[in-house]
Amino acid sequence: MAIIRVTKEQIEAANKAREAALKKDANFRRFEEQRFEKAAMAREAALQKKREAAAAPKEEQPS
Amino acid sequence: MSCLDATFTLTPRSPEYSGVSGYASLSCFGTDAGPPSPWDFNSLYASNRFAFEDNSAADPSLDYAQFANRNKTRFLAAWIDLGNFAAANKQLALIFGFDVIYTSNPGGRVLVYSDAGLLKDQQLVYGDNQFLLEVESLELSFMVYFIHAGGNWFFRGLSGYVV
Repeated sequence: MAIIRVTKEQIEAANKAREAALKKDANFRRFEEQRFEKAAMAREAALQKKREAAAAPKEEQPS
Repeated sequence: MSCLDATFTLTPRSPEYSGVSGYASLSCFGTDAGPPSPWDFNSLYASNRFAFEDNSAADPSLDYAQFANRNKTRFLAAWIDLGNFAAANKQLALIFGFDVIYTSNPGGRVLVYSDAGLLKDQQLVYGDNQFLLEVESLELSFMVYFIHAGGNWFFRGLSGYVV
């Protein structure tokens, strides 16, 4: 199996490059903002569904 | 096959992990679909895979650390944030699962990128089904991109093992 090693220094460099690109490139910034907003909305919708399911009265079982 | 349960497995139908260990997500920005099976939507959904065809591959000579280039091609992105393990000096073994469907050329080709540049130009060979990223530190969250750069192949999933 092929192995790709990713060092801590590479991750630091990648995160610095990402921050710089986000500052410099408005398209990239908008793209990432929309992606994270969409994810946050999806998580909130899932939580809301759970809350509604928990709050809903349970159906009575037939005797 | 592994003797350890994965900390997380991200697939097309289950692209997000959120738990005590942290957070991981998989995004797909462009894929291929259409007849015949197994390239059609129903088959891809049933087999929980993304398909990539040779005629939609990226130009491997471009720099996909640049958003302007990345945004014009098909790629997968994984965001990994397992900082809860950082203090324990743990590492991450990230397995990229794939299938190559044809025995003849081309197999498949994936450019593994970070935001800082190319990590590896990875060939996907018929008969093989995975490659490994060994991530030495979990102190920082990170993004990794998988650019479709050639061949006819299927993406099956990403499994992360904290070790």
